[in-house]
Amino acid sequence: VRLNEDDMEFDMIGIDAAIANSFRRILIAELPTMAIEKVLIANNTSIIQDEVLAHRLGLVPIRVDPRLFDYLSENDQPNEKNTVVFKLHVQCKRGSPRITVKSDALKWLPNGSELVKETRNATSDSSSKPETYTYFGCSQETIPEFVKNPIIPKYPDIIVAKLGPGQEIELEAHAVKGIGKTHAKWSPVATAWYRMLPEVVLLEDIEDDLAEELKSKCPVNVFDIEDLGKGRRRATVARPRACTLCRECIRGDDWEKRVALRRVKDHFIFTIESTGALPPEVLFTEAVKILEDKCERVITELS
Amino acid sequence: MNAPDRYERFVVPEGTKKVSYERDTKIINAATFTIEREDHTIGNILRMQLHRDENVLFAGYKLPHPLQYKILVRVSLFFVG
Repeated sequence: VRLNEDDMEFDMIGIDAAIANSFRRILIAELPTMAIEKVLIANNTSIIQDEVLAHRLGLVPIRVDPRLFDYLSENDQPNEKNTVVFKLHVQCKRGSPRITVKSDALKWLPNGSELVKETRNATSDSSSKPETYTYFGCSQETIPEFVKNPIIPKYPDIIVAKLGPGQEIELEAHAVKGIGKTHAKWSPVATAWYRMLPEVVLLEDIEDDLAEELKSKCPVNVFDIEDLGKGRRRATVARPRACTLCRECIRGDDWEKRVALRRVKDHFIFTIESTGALPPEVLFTEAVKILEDKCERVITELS
Repeated sequence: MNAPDRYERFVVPEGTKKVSYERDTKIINAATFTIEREDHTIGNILRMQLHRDENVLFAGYKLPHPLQYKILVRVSLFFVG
């Protein structure tokens, strides 16, 4: 029905309520996304506490296709296949006014981490590269999808922190793949919901003055008047989809006998609002694949 | 404080089977399936499909506790055939 870059509304007819709900649950909780998980803070002299700043950074949506990455588990090393590294370095000089740190201050580092790990052994090889927190084999810029679209936060104007004069924030953020069940920051949709199509049925023929009254009652203009000829008019249901089920048309005496408000049991109007990592139609196709995988898994385990 | 780790909701630990099956002692032709690490997403769909089968007398699912991540599906048939 409607498709923008970030949200989508479409109809599903003929499925059961359980399947519609399963799609909604999978869209919210089981589609993987990339979000910032580990924040390595080098310097934070602002009034925002470290953990609050890390929490806010985790919630920033990142514009990257999560299907290009793998999951990072505890014993894996962070490399270019499972981590995206960002850097944030903002300083407010003494004497200048306060700065608001927005999310476009996060810079992508395609070559991996720049923070050097402190190694305990005293043998310092000045010839070898210093060890950092990630082990990137090759630069992420070489992956063809990222050449044209560098990885940035989806919305550049999200306020992350505010700095007064003399305060500084210097940190490195690692983003990994996860699903919404673990933490809501990994949910790829702002929200996803469905409603059933309302059905407005006129039980009797409603004519002339009653028809005018009915049409004026509805706040969203569901009813229309059609002319039968000979000066008589009849009310018809023109736009049942717009009906909000406010029950205004059956208020008053006797209207309950003339108008019946119901919902069509198998017609679902889905709305998906994406946070921007993937377009909503891709999100839905991925949700279908995940439902298939889940069912396959149960079936194979059963036999 | 006592809440289990969030990844426990979908990661099946080593040793436990994903789906296990126990026949009901007191009622003939009835059984309970325990599916580990699943929730309403699968349970409701299973229940709906079981209702559509005409041999099924009783089909239902429940989550025994919201912090224990498994579902019990109880099915009973008219007759085994």
